[in-house]
Amino acid sequence: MSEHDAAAEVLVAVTLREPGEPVSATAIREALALHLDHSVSPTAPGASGDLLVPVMREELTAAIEALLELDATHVMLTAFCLAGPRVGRSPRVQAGLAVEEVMAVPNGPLVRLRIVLPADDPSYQSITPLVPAAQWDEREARDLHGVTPVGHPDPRPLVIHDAGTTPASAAAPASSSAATPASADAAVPSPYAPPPAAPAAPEPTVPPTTAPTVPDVAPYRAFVAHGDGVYQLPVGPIHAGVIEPGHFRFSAVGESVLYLDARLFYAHRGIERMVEGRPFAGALPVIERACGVCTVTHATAYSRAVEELTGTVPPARAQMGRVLLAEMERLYNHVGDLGNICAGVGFNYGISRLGFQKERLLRLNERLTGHRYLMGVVAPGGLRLELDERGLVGLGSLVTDIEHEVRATVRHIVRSEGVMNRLHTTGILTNAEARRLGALGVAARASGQACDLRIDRPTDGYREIQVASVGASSGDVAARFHVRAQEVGVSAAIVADLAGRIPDGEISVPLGREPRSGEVALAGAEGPRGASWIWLMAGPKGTVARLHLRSASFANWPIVAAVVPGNIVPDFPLINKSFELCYACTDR
Amino acid sequence: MELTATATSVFLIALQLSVFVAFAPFVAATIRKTKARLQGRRGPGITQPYRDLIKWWGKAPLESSAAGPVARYAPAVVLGSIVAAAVLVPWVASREPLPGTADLIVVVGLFAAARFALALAALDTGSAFGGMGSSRDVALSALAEPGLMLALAGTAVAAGSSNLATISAFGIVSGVGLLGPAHLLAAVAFGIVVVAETGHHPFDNPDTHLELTMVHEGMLLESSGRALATLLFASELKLVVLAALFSAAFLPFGAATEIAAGPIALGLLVGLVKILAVAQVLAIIDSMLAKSRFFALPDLLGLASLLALTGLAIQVLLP
Repeated sequence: MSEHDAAAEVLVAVTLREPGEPVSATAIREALALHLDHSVSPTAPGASGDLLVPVMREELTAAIEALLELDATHVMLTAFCLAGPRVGRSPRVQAGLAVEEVMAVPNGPLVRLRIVLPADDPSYQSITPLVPAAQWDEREARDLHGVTPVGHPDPRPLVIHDAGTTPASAAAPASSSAATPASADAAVPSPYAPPPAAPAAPEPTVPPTTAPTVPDVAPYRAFVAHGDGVYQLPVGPIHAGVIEPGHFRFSAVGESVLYLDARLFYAHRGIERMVEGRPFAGALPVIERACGVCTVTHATAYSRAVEELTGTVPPARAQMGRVLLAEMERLYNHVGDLGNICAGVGFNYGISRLGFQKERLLRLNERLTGHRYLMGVVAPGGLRLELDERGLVGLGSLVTDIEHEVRATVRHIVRSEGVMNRLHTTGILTNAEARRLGALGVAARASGQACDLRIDRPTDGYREIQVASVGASSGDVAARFHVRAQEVGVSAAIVADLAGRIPDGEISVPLGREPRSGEVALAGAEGPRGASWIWLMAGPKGTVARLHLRSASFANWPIVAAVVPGNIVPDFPLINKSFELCYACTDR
Repeated sequence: MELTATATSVFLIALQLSVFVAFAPFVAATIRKTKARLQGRRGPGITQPYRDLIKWWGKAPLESSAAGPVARYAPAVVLGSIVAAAVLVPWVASREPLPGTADLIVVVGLFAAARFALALAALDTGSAFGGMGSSRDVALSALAEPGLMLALAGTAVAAGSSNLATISAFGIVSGVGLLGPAHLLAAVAFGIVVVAETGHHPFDNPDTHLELTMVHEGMLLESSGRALATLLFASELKLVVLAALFSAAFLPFGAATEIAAGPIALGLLVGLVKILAVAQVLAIIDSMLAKSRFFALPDLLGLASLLALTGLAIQVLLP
């Protein structure tokens, strides 16, 4: 028993942070110039200090190699149409498609490498061989925007499930990429057209013969292993329990998994298209509801992106309030996730005790904001609602009490041989794999990766507080369990500290200037599952021209599938629960 | 005399079967209730398993398109085997309800027949989970069977007969002297097997919705309506019969030794208490232990076999 306690101590003693030299924009420019054999002229840094570097499409891989030498990591890849937004009834001009690969240089700025692709040949050299973390980004951009990553190792569709039919959000770019710009009218849907009347669901009744088809997309076929005694085990998308939809195709010999092919996007609602053309404030409720449990994370990332576009600085009270809310969100998620790991091994004591504490946290949320899942509080410009005074009174001591209860329960769980035997050495994500595949959040930290936006790129109130970094090195389910348990303590301490000393004053300021049409801002927020990023392009009159949400779950899903082979089939639910990813904000 | 014997048999069979059948869902309900209480929940009411069974019984089963006659008739075979075993085990009295049939090997064989039919049915539905559940269940029971046989063999050697009524009567006559080391080792081994056979922690999680971890539940995933009601009732009944078997072989005290109103009533009461006690122990184990890694389970079942073998060796070498 004491052996496990000792192991837990060792796990958290691993130091994650290595302070490094700051990397300036000039250094990045020089590195890029060296690889591209010509000088690059990034535009002036944006409000968040990010560098926009337009490169030729043939140069993209060279530019990425230059950034990789600076230890840059993949943040997101997004595609968008270069046509100006339609104004009134005037014809739309389509100039082509653009792809932006965003990479983060450690201790340096974010770099946005932008390539422009002609509408009649929207192809470019795939970057996945160089940056495996971009594997799903590129497939998604291909499915939804019609750009073609040539040489992608996995050319199967990702978002589109049935060849011949397309999701609501894919129809427009797919067909418009082949259409001539001159024929722009209602018959050629525009990516910037107002959202369709019922954009929520894919249209299953469209006959395949008349439906628009996406070019260069082969019918989906699950990757499976073959051989003597190898069998396939299809699971989902309808499960025995009431959980989100996902299809998992196991190739197994006996109980040992040889390969796992995960197929998601059954919950694709096209919400990125849904918000196009909406005013900034109107898009927020949709973004908040990308999933139910990362509300504050997504709302904060979106609000920060809008604030950067408009040059708005939220007041101090709102900045601290956001930190408080983000930590409350992390607390209820982490406590619930610890309980879910217990559910993965059927340990009823942990399930019920931690479920009880999660419920207490949700009720605190309700008292604080009127909403158990904290929706409708964070907004561009600050906070939309004043935090409830009665909710703030005693919040610190209540959260501390809950943290004590959680810690006591975790101590019991760790002392149960049966539980820890299942958690140790199960679902190992090595440090190298975590880095290669771009793991985020708890999954990365449990594998010894320093990866926490609150520390690496602090925003809002995080600039003024110290967030203790937590980590582990073994990368197994037990490591993710311990990291979560330790982070509950860190978050509870932050809440207890802040609850009594949120600065007085305004909670919100009006948005500043109106952004130019086509201006882009990028903002991230560290949520319970890792960093979620919002890429936001302004349209005319303070509207959203295009928005891309890359959630932490989107980043980590391919990693779950990669970690499972080598484990046994009945351990998959446990591994899955140790990552505890959302389907909804992956599928969007 | 002939008539009395027949009347006694009919009476015992009727009594035992009606009590078992009426009682089995109640036992399942008490397990759920205890677990809920231990988790700080109120849990479903005591009548819930009855209502579930009635609800499902009223629905026509929806059959998988791959399923054939095996899947259709297997539930009847499963329930039939368990009911047959229920009739054979001496419970209220240390006298077999059907004279000359209560051989322990027959009882074990009937359980095996039920499991065989269920595994075949699960394979027949063509669902991956059915095949996976069957494979796991057969693997586990292949390992549990030696423990079960050896544990019962120990008592049979002690009593000098493999007839459960004789074993039970021998136990009552021996009194406290029965509880020697050999007997206790066999009882523990049998207890481990009962946990495995009834699908409780650490072998299986009866409450799970995680289809990939299922053993017994996996085999039932494709069942619905009347077939599901039959199979669930069979597994509820199986628990009661196993508890009765445990009581007959290892803890026969309280069972009636003569057919008279007083002893029978006492035997009934003590018998019910023993079954409920076994159920509560299972509920507590479920709440205390996590489900084991699948590949660790052979060790536990091997331990059961080893304990039973040690008990048997003591029985034979140091009678």
